[in-house]
Amino acid sequence: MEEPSIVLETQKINAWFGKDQVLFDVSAHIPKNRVTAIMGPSGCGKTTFVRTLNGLHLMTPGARSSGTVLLEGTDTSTMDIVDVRKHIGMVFQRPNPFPTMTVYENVLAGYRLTGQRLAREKADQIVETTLNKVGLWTEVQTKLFKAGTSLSGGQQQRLCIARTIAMEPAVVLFDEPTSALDPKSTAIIEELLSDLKSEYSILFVTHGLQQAARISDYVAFFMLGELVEFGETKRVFVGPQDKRTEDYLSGKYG
Amino acid sequence: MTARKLKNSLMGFLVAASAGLLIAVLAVIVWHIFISGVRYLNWDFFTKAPAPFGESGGGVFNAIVGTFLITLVAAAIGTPFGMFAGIYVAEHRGQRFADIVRLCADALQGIPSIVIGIFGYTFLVARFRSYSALSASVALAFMFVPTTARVTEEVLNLVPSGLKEAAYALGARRSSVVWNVSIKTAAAGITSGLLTSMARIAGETAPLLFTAFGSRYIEWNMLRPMSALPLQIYIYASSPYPALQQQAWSAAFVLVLLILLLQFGAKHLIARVLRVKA
Repeated sequence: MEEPSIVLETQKINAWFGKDQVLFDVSAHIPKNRVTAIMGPSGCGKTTFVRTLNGLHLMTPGARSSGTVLLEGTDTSTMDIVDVRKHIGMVFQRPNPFPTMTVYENVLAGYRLTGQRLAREKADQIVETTLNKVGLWTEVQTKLFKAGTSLSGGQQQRLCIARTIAMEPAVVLFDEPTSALDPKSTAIIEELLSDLKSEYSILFVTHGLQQAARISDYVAFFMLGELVEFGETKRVFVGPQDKRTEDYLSGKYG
Repeated sequence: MTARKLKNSLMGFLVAASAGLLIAVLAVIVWHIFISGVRYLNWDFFTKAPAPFGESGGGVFNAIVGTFLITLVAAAIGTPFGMFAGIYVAEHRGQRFADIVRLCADALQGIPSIVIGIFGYTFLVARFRSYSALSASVALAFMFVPTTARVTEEVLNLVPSGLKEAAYALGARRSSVVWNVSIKTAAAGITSGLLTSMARIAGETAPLLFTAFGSRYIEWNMLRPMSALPLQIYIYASSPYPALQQQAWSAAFVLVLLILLLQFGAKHLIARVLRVKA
């Protein structure tokens, strides 16, 4: 496998909630068009790390951060936060389609919420292609104008993925997107990732070792707010270089 | 029976009896008003102004018109202020100024309505040298704003934070999140709060005594004195004429019916909000 280019680079990211520091000098190179799993025990800063990338971390009262995030070479602190979030989309732990919107409107929510008007044909086309990409089109074709919340949990989560990729981001952050789903819905979403990575670069937070091994090309292992190890998934799982990674993989804690 | 079991059943009885008493009080009031009021209800009662003194018949259409106009105008004045204040407090949770606004809303809610009435008299009626329905609406709006602000804030706080985060993550700006996500999701709850606040002011009497003053004629002009159901009840019930006292009961029946309808409407909407949330 040839070396992929870098889509996202972080330089010495530190993050705090009030006086508690939760991330320490995290520097990482996220490869383009690959799935990178962010794993580690609960409270290790995985979620905070991805939330610093799209600026959601700072929306928590009392939260601070420092360091630099480069998106395809551009320092995101010099960009409008709206543009940053357009390029770095996010899917959350719990499926959260907008309850006041239909399936159709949910797919286009990003356009509507940012005040972009679309011609009817263009809108129809985005809805169809996006729902196709997440494998929902045939399932919800007849339910396009029903409430997004009327779908099953797994379908709702795929609708949320559709809503995110409809904005054509470069990077998609997944924050434990399957932890609230049943095994079958989880499998569907995991399969989806291998299709999606041809167009998007994916960061996938998970606390499941097996899940990280199944889905990812690269893995970042976090502990106590530090990035302990980063590398190709096969290499890290077979021959971890850090003692802490080895202990975690062999089940000494977690 | 042991002492513990005895205590247990005694407490159980007291709790159930208190709950039952609550129902009984409402039932007695509603039943009495119904029995006393419904007998004298007729078409004239709803469509005619009071008969001249000494003549029988007539109705309270003037008061029904007044209650609707005064309440609706008060709500129209108070809704934007109340809603915006509520949005402000909900969006700035934990900040000092928001806490002060919330505290003031609570304090304003606690001001007795008679004081609001005197206030309306001093600053509106006395200044413009005329009793008017509009000054009554303004006085009632002072009671409408704090309840609306508090309800709006509480309902907005019920909107799951995950929805707002999802909107921000899509690149939405704050104003867009507030209008397109928070308010839309909470719309039914906010409407319910508006209805509850309207029900509350529709039954107020004290502020009207000093402002709307009352009128025996069917009045549509907000700048002139106007009657309202609570005023009409107050005047008729304290009159020496049995025919007017009977009409007071009928008016009470209509007023209670109106307020209960508003409240049931509000409850129905709140039930819908809770379903969306679950």
